[in-house]
Amino acid sequence: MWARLRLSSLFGLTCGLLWLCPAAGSTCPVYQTLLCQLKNMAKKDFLKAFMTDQGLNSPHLNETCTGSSDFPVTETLKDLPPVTFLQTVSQTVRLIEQKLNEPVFKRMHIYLQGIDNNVCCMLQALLPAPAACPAPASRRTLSPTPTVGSFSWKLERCKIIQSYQRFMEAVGKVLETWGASPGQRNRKRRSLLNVLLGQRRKVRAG
Amino acid sequence: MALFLNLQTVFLLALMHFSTYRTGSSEYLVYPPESINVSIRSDEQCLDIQWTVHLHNYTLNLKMIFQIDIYRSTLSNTVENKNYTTTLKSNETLQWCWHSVLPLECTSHFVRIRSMVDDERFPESRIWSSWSPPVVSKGQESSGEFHIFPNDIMYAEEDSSVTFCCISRTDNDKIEFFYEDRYMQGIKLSSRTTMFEVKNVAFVRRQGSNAYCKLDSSIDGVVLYVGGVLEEPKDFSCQTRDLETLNCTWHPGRDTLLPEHLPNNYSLFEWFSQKKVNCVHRNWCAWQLAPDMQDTYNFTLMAENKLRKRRTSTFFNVNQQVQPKFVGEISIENVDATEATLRWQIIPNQKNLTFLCQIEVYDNEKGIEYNTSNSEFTLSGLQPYTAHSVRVRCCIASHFWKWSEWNSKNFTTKEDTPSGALNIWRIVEPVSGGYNVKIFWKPLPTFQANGKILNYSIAMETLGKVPKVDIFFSDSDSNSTEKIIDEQPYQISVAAINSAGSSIPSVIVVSGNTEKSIQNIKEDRVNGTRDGIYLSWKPDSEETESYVVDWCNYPWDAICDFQWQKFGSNITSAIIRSAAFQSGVRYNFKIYGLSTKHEPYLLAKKTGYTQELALDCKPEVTVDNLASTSLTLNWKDNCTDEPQYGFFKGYHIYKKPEVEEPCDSETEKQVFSDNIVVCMYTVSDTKQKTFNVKKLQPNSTYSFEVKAFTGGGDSLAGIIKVTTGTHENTNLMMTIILPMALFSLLLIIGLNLKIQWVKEKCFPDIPDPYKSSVLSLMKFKGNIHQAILNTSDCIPDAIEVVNKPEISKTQGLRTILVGNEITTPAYLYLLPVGKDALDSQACICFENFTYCQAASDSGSCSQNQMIPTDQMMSVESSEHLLKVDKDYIRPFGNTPAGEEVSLNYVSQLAPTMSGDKGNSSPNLPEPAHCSEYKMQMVIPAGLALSFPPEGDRPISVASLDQLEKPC
Repeated sequence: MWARLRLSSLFGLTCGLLWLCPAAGSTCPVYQTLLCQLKNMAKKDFLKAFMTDQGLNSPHLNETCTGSSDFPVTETLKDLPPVTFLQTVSQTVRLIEQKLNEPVFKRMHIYLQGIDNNVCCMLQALLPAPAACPAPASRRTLSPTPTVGSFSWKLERCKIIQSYQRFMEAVGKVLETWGASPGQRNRKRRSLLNVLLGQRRKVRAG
Repeated sequence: MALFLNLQTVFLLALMHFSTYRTGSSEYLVYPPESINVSIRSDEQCLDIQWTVHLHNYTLNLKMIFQIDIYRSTLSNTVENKNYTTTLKSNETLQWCWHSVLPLECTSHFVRIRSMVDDERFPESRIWSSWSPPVVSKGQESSGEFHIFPNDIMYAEEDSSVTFCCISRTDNDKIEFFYEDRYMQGIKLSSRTTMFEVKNVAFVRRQGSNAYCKLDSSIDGVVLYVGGVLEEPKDFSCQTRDLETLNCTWHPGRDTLLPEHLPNNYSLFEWFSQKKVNCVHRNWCAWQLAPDMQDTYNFTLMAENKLRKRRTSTFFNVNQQVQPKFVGEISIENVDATEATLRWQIIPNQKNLTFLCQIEVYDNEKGIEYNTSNSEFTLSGLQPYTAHSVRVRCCIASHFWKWSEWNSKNFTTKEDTPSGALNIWRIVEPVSGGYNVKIFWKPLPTFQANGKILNYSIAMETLGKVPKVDIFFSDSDSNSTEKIIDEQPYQISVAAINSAGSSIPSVIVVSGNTEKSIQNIKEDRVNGTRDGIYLSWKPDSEETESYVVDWCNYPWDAICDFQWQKFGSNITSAIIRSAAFQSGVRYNFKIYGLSTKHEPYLLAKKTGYTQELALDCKPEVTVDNLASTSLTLNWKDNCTDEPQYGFFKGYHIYKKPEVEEPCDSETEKQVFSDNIVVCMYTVSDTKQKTFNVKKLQPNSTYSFEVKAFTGGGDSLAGIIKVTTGTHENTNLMMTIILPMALFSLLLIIGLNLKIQWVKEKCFPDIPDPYKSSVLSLMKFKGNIHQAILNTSDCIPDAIEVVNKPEISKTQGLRTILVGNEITTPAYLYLLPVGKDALDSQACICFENFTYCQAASDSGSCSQNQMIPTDQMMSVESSEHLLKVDKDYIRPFGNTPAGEEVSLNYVSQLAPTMSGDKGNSSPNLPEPAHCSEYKMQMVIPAGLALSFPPEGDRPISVASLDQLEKPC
């Protein structure tokens, strides 16, 4: 998509750049502040509030919110290089935004955008170029959405939020290992390709 | 025409004849239902039944009844039996929707229909057709899937009952049903279907209540949105502001609390134009009018949501529901000092509409209302140089509906010459060579100033011989001026000037004579009230035009804020009020009369407080002259009659005994808020610093409090606690016993001086036998002590022996008294015969009765002790002796014969005050008082008296040893 934007008009390029980095127009906080903010934001619990609002905080329904997640887990994230890690976080957050694009999740949406902005700023700290922010996730064709407010809708949204929660928990754990300055990380890094290949192997083996 | 109709009917009947059944001899019409179709409308939980009837064209408008039977699960379980009546039309598909409590997917439903002609034209055809074959609406129980019905979302009104069903995959699966976490028991409809009913559902949350079935780990659920019952819109009405747009409003009632994506929808339908508008808002809606096309409207407002529909209507002529509206602001033109013209524009401006407009004009004080039907109005009689506020509103005059909003505007009228005169007053203070005159005036009120006051003109004209006028001006901000004048009187005129002119001058005459009279007038005290200070004065002469009271608001200040107040000639009292008045401040008032020649003269001086305060001082108290019942209180203080507090009136002395006691007449009983009762003395002299407190209880403790008091109460207290002394016995002695002692002493002295007299009266000397004249007559042989007195030696004048003769005979020598048959009591009298019959020594008398026994009876000792010496007295004595108890002269030898008596009693003792004290025996007991019995003596038997039987005279003989003792 990025390539397509570059081939389009200059206007389109400008717009694309602005879209790529929503925080580009504003001044980013220092790295330590960003890191601290991201760690705190990763701890925010949306699941409990959603379940309470929807009446799903019942022992019979708790299990229905849990399920397999499509998002990377801690083991996957901790081996990613910082830039890749942040880009993965950004893409995942945007995907969740897309899935929860309903008025009832308006506040959560704003919060997710804040996370995305902070991730973008962190990427700028790591890669001092405007293009550091990840490209917007392509608008996936999501599976048919149940009627808003229906029981199946409640369960499905519950599962999405629960997945997000687990993902952000993993993100928080990774961020805890990050040092006070950009690039300070005492962990062995692997490329995203290696990580994905490893994950694929695990799935096949499993 | 009627003929034509009859022919048509006959024709139709003839045609129908060919389509009737013929059963035996009777014929009737039968149209069984055909093409029965049954389907489920899940959102409404409605079983939609459709069928047709094959009719000939000539059977149009035939009235028929269809009986519809609905069975649930099996044909034996009828759940509905409905008679559906209709008038048939050509090629019409008949339709009826059956609302089921149980979700229709839960189980199969069977429908069968039969029909009957119910037309008056064919009464013989009222015969049911045969039932149609059952048509089934299959449920989901055989789907092999786990489901709950209704599925996903459903709606219900509060307090209604909702039925769910759960379908299992296989027969007899164990299904659990929960409604908001509450497990509920179900009813088995079939081996796979279980029905659950939730009664009286309540609103839990906007996000709906969750109902779900659980089969092992599978869950299928539905969200039940419970909403309030949609209410019928109230107060539905429409109006127009411009005859172009109609605005309809209503009150929608309480919120149904349904989720945002399931709102209540409102729509307007107009019957004449058959137009409909969906309303955006829940309480109002706009409608475009066609003014020239339609005047009358019939609107129906429809409110509906998923659960209910409501409607309400209104019918009106739009020209009668017009609320006019102003176009722009009102304009104000031609404004001068007292007039202004208003203009406005209002819509709708159709020619057939007339308006009534209301105008309200306000200045600072009042409002005036005007009405007009025009679009302009001229205000008159306005206050010059005054801010005015004007507002206008209009309505349709022909048919009042509503007033328009107020359209307001402010304007200020132009200036005019000041009206009225200034209120002026003066202060005259003597200075060297004349007087210093201060002229004060009060600014004109706005309604009299009629503009901005630029300055004040003051003209001073002498009234003396040399006419002189001095004119000067004072700033508009000032309210006084000062000038020194000479001794002659002046007439001062003051006028206010604005841009339009000058006010009427105010005149006052000033002279020094007025101030000279001040010293001669005594100042009176006045009482304050809650509102102010009440003043009164005596009315003066008829020439008095008015009265003036002046004072200072801050009398202790250099700038005392001089004030005055004028009163008419008929007023002689007033309450002077001022916001500056404070409690505890003494205000001085001067009351003047103002003559018709504008010359003031002083009438009275008053001083007083709005409210007096207690003095800020504290007496120091000491006690002096403390006694058991009194004491003296002394105190020192710095309490003075200062104007800051109140009129110093004296002291209050509070006596508070430790043990409660009543207050005496000099005190006043005071009960404090804590129910402590004290006695209060009042000292009215402010210079008195001592006070004697009397009538105290001895040995008691008192608290004394001394407080200076004003009309505002008591000052701080000087307190002292005192305990009185014990009772003063010495004083009592001094007052009572000492006089008694003195009296006793004087009595003793007096008695001593008169002792001889007393002695003679009370204790006469007992005659001494040795000194008796008898002895001198006797010839003693030997010792005098052994002398025997022979009665023969004595020449008695008379002897009377009182005794019983037998006693003398039988007792012999032992008989003390012997008589010759004397029955009368025996007395022995030795009466002197000598010349000196009065000489007590002349004769010895032996008495043998209790000494002074008769004293108690007679009250005098002398009567029974003295032996009278003359005849007369002897007679009396003898008579007296008769009274003596005979026992006292009983002989002591009155013992049985033969007994040896060793002791004998002799006569009683004589008192010691007898004249022979020196002869009294020390062995003898002291004599007692004369009225008492004398102790008897014991003497040996040998010394006992013996009575020798010599002659017939019984005599009594005693030993001289004993006889020399006083009897």
